[in-house]
Amino acid sequence: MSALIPAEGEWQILAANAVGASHRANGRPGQDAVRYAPSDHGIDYPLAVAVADGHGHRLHFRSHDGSRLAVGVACDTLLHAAGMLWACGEAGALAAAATDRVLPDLVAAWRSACLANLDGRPVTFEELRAAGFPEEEQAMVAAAGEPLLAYGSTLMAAAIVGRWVLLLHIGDGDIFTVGADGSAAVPVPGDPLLDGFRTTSLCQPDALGSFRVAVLDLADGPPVVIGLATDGYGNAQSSDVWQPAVGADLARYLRQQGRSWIGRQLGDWVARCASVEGSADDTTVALLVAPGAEARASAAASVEAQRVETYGAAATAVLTPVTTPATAPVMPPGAGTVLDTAAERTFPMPPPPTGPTSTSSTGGGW
Amino acid sequence: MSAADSSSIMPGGGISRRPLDFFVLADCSGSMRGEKMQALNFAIADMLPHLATWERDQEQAAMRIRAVAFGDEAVWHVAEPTPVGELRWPPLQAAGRTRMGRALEVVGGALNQLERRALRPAVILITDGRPTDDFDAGLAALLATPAGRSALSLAVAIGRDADLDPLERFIGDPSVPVLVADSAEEIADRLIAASIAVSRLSEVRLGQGHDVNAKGVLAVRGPGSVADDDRIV
Repeated sequence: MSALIPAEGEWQILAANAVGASHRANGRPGQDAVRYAPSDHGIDYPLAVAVADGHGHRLHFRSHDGSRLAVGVACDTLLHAAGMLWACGEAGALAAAATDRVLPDLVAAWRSACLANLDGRPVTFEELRAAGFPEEEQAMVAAAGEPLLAYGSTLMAAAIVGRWVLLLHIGDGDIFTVGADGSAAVPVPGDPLLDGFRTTSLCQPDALGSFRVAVLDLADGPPVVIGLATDGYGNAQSSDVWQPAVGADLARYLRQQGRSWIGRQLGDWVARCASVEGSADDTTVALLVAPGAEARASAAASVEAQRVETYGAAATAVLTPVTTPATAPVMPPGAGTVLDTAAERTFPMPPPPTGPTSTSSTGGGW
Repeated sequence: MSAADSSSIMPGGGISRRPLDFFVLADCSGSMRGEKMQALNFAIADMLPHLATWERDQEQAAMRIRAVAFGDEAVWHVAEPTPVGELRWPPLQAAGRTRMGRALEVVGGALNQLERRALRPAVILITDGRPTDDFDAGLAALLATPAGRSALSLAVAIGRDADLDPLERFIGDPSVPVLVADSAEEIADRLIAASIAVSRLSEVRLGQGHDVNAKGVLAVRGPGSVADDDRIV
């Protein structure tokens, strides 16, 4: 992991993952994957980050492959679509393009990648035995004809395209934003089907219908941090609604220590969440840190200190989701890096916005 | 910030093991009076150290106990989720009818309030008779919650007069039998068996050969049995 000092106008990605204690205990591979990718298309420096969590259940015995393939196709698809998304010009159109064109391409690309993986490495009875299928079930599973089920995975992805941030989410896990004042928000609509015991998945036949989409306008009170975290992180937190406290602390760390310090700590934070102290589950966190985040967080704190001095302390609180639209498609490749441990990279800030200013998301916070 | 500070600091309000909630539903109807109630109190108190030992050894879930006593009413007997290692079992008193359906409703309400990060709960129903209220309504209320549908459900029947049909429907899994205690002396043995079942089946979820954090998928029915972790609907 390198400690890079971001230049003015640069986004920086801090990412880390850790294999959960429950997987280490039984010698199974981690099921999470993370990837980020700068554009190699030269379109105003779009940036894509993806995090995925393979289901781990024996029915999804290749979910570690499924999650790795998911983050790859997500970054590739988003970067490939960057020009088209950029041309949308306003948030509603961008959300619609994501739903109608990007997601179908992404899901199709994931399916193709899984099938290619299967072609290259057919399932064996030995693999099924190792996955925990009793002998009497192995032939049945092998003959079931549902190959994608083995690769089941969630997916969270974020792409910064000019002044817009496109967020895509299927399954559990958390996407959150942190404002300069430390307020936290959930930008992607919730899904009542996610009850903590089951998850929606890329391997569903109707996966497109389970994707949730949000678009943030960076010209409209941009966050200092956008976080993507697999459920191993949230499930380790003692508090059920953990984002407000985490957001407040991240803003404070930005102010007092800076992003490089956060980047150096992130691996330890994630490892603790994945340990028996926490969820014991694979844990992955990717933080997109905005340009000038430290200065903005400091400025917000100064304003707050002045306000408290003038009017007295005020309470904050309550989780209000940022709203947004919905769903729907495949494409290929670009560049990127798969992370095994904490890492950070910087990327140039896109040029100033020139298009319209509407957004399909409304501000929210705790 | 010193190096020592930074090694312990972490954003948010701290981390902890995921809770595993264990609900005991105990029949306190008049027919339990005397030897049976005495044996049940002893058996539950005897079961707790076994669960505490398991909890200490597996190191991944924090087990918390709650209990509902049902007779003429169904009331919380241990209302607060209490760490299994800290619970001193308060003796139950027998009187009245068998409001088993209402007890399921009460637990259903609590299951609906479980933390989002809670592991699949366990519920054990202990009775020597048959419900005197609307059992079906109670079971429906329990199963109306995601946690209720996902729970590990076990039942102990005390004596041959216990009606096994509602207990089997409560368990909802033909492969899991009702544990029958033919005499007061056998109650403790059956509860120990139940506690072993809770710990073993929870171990399956805690990575001892399977995966505590494994997830099923909505709307996809996989091939074959998913008996160990049937989260696929």
